[in-house]
Amino acid sequence: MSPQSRRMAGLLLILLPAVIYGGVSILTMLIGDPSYAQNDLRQDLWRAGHAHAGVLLVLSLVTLRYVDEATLSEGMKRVVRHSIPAAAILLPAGFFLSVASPDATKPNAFIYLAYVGAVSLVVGLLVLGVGLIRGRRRASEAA
Amino acid sequence: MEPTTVLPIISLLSLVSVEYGGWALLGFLTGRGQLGEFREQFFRAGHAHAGVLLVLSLVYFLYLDRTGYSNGIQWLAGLLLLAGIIAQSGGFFLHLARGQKDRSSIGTVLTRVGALLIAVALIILAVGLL
Repeated sequence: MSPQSRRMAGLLLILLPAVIYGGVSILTMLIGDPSYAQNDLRQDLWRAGHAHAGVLLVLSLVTLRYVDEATLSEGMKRVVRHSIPAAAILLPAGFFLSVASPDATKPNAFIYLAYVGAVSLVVGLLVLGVGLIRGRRRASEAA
Repeated sequence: MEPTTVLPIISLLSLVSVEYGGWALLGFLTGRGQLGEFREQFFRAGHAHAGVLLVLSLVYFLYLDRTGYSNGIQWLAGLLLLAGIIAQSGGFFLHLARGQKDRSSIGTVLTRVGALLIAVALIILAVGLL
């Protein structure tokens, strides 16, 4: 594993307990906060925020294993190493902050962060996918 | 062609379509058109399972590379896993299109078949790692 990937992996592992903290908070509110239990939209978006934070951090950790094998310039590798973890932060941030107020019935403008995160994720995935396809070509030419 | 270099590419590109589904789901949740509770539940289940199982597949291929299996067996195991993921999560979407609340449908059958395929693929990998 390259030093850059390893450093990012360490950072992501340190971030993961924040997801656990979020999960504990949501669980506590579901059980003990009647106003949260009654607000469907808030429950939907916070559940989505928690789930995306968890699964995208795991995706980020896995893609770091693939980046080092991809045939990409150092700059493009840096794009992949940062855009997928950035999505793991932007998507949940959009979901959580857009209904931060307990009596929100509509998401506020923070929801656009989720769309920005989605674009960042698509870019990272496509660049990595292309990098792996190019790596495959090169390997078969060498063989 | 090495299965453990080709199959992750398929998973990565499939994740983009999961995102497209999530984009649509967010639209439904925040008021642009209503799906209704039954369809929303199954849309969410399909989206979540597709996403998390594709991440699993990326991990799976890293480990598949470490087994002593021939290319043929690796192709079989990897394609079995991907077919299982498509069936398992696709079944939820089929159920919301064709099924009814509290009833099984061709969609829920597909989900069960997919789960079985995933289980077989996981067992093949586990045996190969022993």
